[in-house]
Amino acid sequence: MFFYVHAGSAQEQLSPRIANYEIDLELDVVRKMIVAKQKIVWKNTSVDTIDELRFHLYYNAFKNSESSFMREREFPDFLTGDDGLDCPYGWLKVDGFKNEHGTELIEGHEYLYEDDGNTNDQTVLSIPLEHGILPGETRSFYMNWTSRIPKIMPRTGYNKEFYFFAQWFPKLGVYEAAGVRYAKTGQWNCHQYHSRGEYYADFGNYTVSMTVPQDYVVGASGALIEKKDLGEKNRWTFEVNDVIDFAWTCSPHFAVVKDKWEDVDLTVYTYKSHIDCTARYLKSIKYAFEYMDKHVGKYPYKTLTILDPPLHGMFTGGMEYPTFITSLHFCFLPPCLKTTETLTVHEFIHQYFMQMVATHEQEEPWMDEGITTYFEGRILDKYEGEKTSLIDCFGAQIGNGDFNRTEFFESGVVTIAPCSIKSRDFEHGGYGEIAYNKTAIWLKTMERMLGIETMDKILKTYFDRWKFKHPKTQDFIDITNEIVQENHGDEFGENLNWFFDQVLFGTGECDYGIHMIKNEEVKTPIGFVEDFDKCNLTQNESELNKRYKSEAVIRRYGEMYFPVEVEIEFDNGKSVIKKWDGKDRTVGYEFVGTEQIISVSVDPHRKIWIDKNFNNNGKSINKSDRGLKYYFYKALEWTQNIMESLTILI
Amino acid sequence: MRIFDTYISSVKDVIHTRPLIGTLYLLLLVFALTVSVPFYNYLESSFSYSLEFDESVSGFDFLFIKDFIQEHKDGLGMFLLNLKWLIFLYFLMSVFLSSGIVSAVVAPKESYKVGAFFRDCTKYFWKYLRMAVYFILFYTIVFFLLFKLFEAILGGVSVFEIENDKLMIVVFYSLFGLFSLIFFLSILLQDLCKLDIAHNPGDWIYKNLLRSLKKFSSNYLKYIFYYLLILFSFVLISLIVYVLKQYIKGMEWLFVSFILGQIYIVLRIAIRLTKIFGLNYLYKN
Repeated sequence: MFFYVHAGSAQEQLSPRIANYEIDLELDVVRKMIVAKQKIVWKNTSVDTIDELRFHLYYNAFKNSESSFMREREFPDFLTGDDGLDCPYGWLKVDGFKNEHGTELIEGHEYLYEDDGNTNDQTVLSIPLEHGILPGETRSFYMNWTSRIPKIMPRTGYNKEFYFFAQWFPKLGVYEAAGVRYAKTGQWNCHQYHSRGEYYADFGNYTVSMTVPQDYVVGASGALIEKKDLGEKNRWTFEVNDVIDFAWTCSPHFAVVKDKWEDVDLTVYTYKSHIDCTARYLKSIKYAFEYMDKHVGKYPYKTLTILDPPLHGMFTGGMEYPTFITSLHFCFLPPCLKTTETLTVHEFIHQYFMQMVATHEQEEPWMDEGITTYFEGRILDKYEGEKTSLIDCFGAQIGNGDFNRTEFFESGVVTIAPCSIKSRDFEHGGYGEIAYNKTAIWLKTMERMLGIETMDKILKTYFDRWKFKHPKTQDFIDITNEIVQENHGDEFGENLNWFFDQVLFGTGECDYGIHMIKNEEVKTPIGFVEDFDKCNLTQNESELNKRYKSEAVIRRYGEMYFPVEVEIEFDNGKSVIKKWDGKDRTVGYEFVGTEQIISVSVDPHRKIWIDKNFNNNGKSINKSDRGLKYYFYKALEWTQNIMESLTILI
Repeated sequence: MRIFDTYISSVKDVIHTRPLIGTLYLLLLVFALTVSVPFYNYLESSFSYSLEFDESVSGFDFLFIKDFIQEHKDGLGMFLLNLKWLIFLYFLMSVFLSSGIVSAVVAPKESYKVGAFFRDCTKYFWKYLRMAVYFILFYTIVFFLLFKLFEAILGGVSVFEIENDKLMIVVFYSLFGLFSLIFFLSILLQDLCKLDIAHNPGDWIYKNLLRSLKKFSSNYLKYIFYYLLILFSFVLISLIVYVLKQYIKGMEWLFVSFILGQIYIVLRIAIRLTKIFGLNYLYKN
């Protein structure tokens, strides 16, 4: 039998299960080909009658050098002049597409290129239907397809005997009914494959059978439900429900390590030479589970597969697929460099943000990568130490959050585009820095401004309300405004739109600093003459103590504004905290009394994480002798040692 | 002469040449000051009133460092450019001083005179400079060849060609070990050659080099053990200073730590001299 019956799976239904797939394929490792049969069960949840289906044919991005994907990224050198079995190109061809009645529909197909009009791009296929799918109706279709597996392409393909399949099968776009995200009327949302961002799909159930050579080990999304011996080949069948995608891998060199987190089966696929790194994967994945479970919500699936690709397969590392993540580990890096943990945690968080909360990565990448990067920092800072969560080597310590912030501000593209744009609209750079890092930075600013409890409530509500659905930017903003109003009333204004206008839709920078500190002695009247004959003066009390007019001026150098605190310290040991709405370009605080200001600090607790320069946040009226001495001694000693070491060459 | 006796005699010689150590230390200090004083002035003028600057001394602060670099990259860039030229100048000066040191070792004088030392510094300057350039070229060629070997063993340095990174590490460490060994022996040979130039100043460099090679091959174990002893002394002293510095962290110990650092520099100079004195004994015997 080719097809399984799984639509009425006993597992609790978590999602609307709109797009369901049953795929049976055979992998030819000599010709690097896949031959597949695919059943699609699709439910029309809109009020429209659907008379065409649109599919993503991602592998056609690797069909020629002029696809939109290839045009948008630097063309790899190895894609020239090679042919025969090692030809690195890839493609996917739909050979047949039939409805339940066996009517062949492929004849009317056409490729669409609505994003950019690129006629060389064949990554979106439209197939007109003989009979439209009525509202509420569920229909089945049967497809035959063949694909050539690309060699070392971004995120997918093969190299040596390692295979990884992501964005690999003909996958339905999302039919957005009126009111879903930005759709005013019903419409297909099925973009071409661009070089940045890929995920957006409807939830469904997947049953995938792969026939591979006997010595190959297969790992995939979901759980292995059957492994059948077919003589020279084995047929592996995996099943997973309520997900938006399916990925798989195979190699004859995999070592498999199993573990558990509560009732979730954890499986690590690694090469034998990497077997000792699985402990790092498992440790980090377990604390990520624990954290997300507590702060966001429960992971509802029964499996999680972690792939540690070999070095020659690193083009597939650091990616996320439903119940399946790929990380990356380099044996030559010491454990004090926590890149393995960082990648593992990051990719796991995607199980929540883009997998369960199924945002559109191409159209609103900040909701996917940005929120994930924010949580990555939170988790790693908690479990690996705030100042040591990325690097803790030989006295040099770098925290994940600190590194993210620095990476953004050093990028040179801080103001190149707002956070809210589509991933392919970052035409002149800044995608990673803005969609990932900037979002994480402003979310951390929001967290410190509102407090961790409010922040957690916002994110938990967002997850609960939008899991297994497709939210858009405004949905996140609405929830934030609702929770902030609930927890803080009008403390931050009527709503937080002013905040989002700046951090999400704006391109400004934030920089608060101390402009000036001044202490001037007040020239008090020395007295009053009461008896002109004797010229006696009546002395003021203030004469007994010197009085000062002290002034501190704080400046907003950047375009962004936030409410900030200003801490002013006096020479008598007292200090005051002033709250400033941060809107004007400057604010001045004046004091008259016997004490003088000795130092001023704006945002002393670094709540405004998006402030680009913390070093001008605090100023003293006295030079830092200890700082100067410290760095002078260090510089002198280091120079002496370097120069003395140089003599070894002479 | 036995190795340990050579070592002890050399240490005694070094103790007797304290003024030479003093001269070398002071010259090193002056050069280092030409780097660190402008750095101090730069910090003072741009940053000294910042509270963050004051707080940064309490430990490694990544955010402080990166914000500082981001804000002052132009100034720091100029500073590093100047540093490059200073290092080049120091390289030339070291060649110059090396000639004086070898002269002082080969033909010790009754009493140390600064003027005489500097006169000796000019004696073999050009020959030593040429030799230093030859050896640097040699290291570059060895490095290049080993890199090619690394590539050949792994089938390329493209990550897509490497079967597994464990093999890469094994190959890397093996070749690194080989390079270190070649480097170690070359330093020894270069020092021997310097002595030979001082003993036979009229010869061409290649003759000095050949004679040094002959000397080394006839008694290589002694030379290697002596250099290992010197290496051990250096590692031991570095370790002691490192451990001591761990106990005196914090601003209240800053000056003490600095003085310890200066003692360490003096000891490094002394070890360098011990190496040459001992090698001269071995050369003569």
